[in-house]
Amino acid sequence: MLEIKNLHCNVENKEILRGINLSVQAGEVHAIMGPNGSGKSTLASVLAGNEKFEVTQGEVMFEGMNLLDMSIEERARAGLFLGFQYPVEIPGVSMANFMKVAVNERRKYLGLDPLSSTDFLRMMREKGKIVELDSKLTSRAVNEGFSGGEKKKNEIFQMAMLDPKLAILDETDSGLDIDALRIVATGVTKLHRPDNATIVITHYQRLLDYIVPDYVHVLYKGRIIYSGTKELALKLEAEGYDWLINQYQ
Amino acid sequence: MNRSVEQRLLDLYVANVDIVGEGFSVGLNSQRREYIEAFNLAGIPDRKDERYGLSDLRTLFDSREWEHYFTPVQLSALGGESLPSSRYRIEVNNGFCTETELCRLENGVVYGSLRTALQEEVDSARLHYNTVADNKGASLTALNSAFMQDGSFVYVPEGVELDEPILVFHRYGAGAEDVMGFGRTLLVFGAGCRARVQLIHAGDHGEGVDDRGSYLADYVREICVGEGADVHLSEVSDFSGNCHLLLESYVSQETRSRCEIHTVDLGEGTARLDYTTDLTGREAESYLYGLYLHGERERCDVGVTVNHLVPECRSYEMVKGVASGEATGSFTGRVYVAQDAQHTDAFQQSRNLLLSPEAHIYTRPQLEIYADDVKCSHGATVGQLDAEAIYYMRQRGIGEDEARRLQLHGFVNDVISHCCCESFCDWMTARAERKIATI
Ligand SMILES: Nc1ncnc2c1ncn2[C@@H]1O[C@H](COP(=O)(O)OP(=O)(O)O)[C@@H](O)[C@H]1O
Ligand SMILES: [Mg+2]
Repeated sequence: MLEIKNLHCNVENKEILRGINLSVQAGEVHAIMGPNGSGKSTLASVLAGNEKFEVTQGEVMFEGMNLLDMSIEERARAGLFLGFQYPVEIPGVSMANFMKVAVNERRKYLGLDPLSSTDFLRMMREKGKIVELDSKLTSRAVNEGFSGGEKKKNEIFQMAMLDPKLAILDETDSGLDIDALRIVATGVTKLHRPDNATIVITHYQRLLDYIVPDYVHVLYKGRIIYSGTKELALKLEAEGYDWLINQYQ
Repeated sequence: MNRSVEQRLLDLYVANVDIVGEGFSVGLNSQRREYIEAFNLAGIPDRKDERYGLSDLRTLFDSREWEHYFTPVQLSALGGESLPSSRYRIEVNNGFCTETELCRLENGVVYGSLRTALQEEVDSARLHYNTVADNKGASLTALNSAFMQDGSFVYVPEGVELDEPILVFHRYGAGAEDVMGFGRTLLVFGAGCRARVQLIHAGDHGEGVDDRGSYLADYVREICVGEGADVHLSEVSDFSGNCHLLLESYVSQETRSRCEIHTVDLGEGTARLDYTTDLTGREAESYLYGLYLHGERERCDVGVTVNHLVPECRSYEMVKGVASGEATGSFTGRVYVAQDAQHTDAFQQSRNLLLSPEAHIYTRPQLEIYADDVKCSHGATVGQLDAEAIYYMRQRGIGEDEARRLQLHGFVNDVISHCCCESFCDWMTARAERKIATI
């Protein structure tokens, strides 16, 4: 589904990603861990197509397409979803309006007709239940006045609405209390299917108690320095990253 | 020798004083002389005048030899322009009402030609006419009062609840010539009444677009809001690039009255929109929501003055501007709180979006407060579209143009979505959307 080969990228002439290789197949869950500033969010942004980041080398194939040739919206329509570490507030733009346009763009890509208003509203209600999103929130402006937890739930709600092939969730667990974490994590689990894939970027093992990864990768200074199975996350939780970093250097 | 604009207008008045005053009372006509002199003395407001410092009206007046017609001219039929539906309707072409007879509803509501009203309606029209407008300090208002021949009039008697809005539709057109005209509106709301009025200013959207001349409209509106009355006005100006609208709106509000105005300028020409509200009775509430959307070389200057003359009144103004291309927008706000206007609650905000490096927005909100126990705040912001928000929307599959459009819509939405009735909101939203697509 996703094939990243030797990906390098710069921000303001500073090399942040220094040769990433990663392969993700349908049905898999990958966790990317690593200390702060190692490039996890950068990797997510580059995959989403954020224009702030300049790809200097490498190749990314997504569903047989050359991802780096596609615009941000083309990638999204093709089924790549990024759950933002810091979801953006858009004053005056209602959740319903925003989601309606987004869902219909995705449907258009899939060759489906736009949803009728009633079907759309029904879908909003159904998908809102997955993350126990307060129905009042969907009538408000996008993320405006949402609490930290509500914003993160809202990301997963949007993921449910758009039904992506590949979801990259950037620190969706950070800033959540135990209850919100459980809701968000079980939401993600419910959305997991054999024909889609998820990359969870996280600091903590606790998210992985719910979302069991098939692979755990450690990103450090712009490279994946170690890949393992879910036991790796437990070991990292107990012992930190130092042993790995020492071993790498 | 080239005559000055002032001299030309004075000469025009003198030469036509009989035709201008024809059919009006001696009392009304005798005041015209004072008005034209007041105009001549003050002259066309220029950049030295603090309230007009941001707009150059002299250049506009000087730019052409403006013709003036003293009789109604037929305007070409509307070319596919749809209007919001309305049961009660007044049409005004170049300042002249198309119907001379007044409409009188069973509940006592009267609407129609201002000229007829000033002849027939002594208590409602004549007693209120020129009681709110500033014919001394505002020279364009004085000029309008000197030349006024007709316009629109609405009277809602005490205690009446008007079931549907009254639509006042102004059209300005010039044929092939460059024409200057005067529009006038008098709205009188009796104590405890409830009413909605919609005002549209549109150009001459007929045939022969290319060889049309320009139109300069000096339009004055007086609104008298009686004790406890609840009044809601929605206004749109949307005309082609050959129209210039100079609008002076005056509101006077008595005790516990409420007046809410929504005004949207989408016109391709230039507009100077001035709103003055006098809060003369305690606990009166005034709300003004303004919006302009401009691209290319369009221009809009908004002036808002609220005078808190008595204690315990509330005023709220939110004026939003969007300028792209080489458009220019400006906001001049003034909240005046008299010495004994204690417990005033006043809020004034100007929020703006600049969409291109060649567009300009100027804002100047001001407070002038002489009372000590008040709650007043004002502010202005000029920003750009939020690149992060556009990225976020694109990541959800929304195209870049659409994301931009959604964000602009979000910016303007609170002004256009709360105007006086749903069908008018829909109509206004559609117009605004159309404009957004072009800027
Ligand atoms: N927009 C940016 N401008 C400059 N430097 C950036 C920008 N985004 C990220 N960086 C730098 O790139 C490195 C990796 O950041 P990031 O990908 O956010 O790390 P992580 O998500 O792993 O904590 C850091 O050194 C950070 O300072
Ligand atoms: Mg990060």
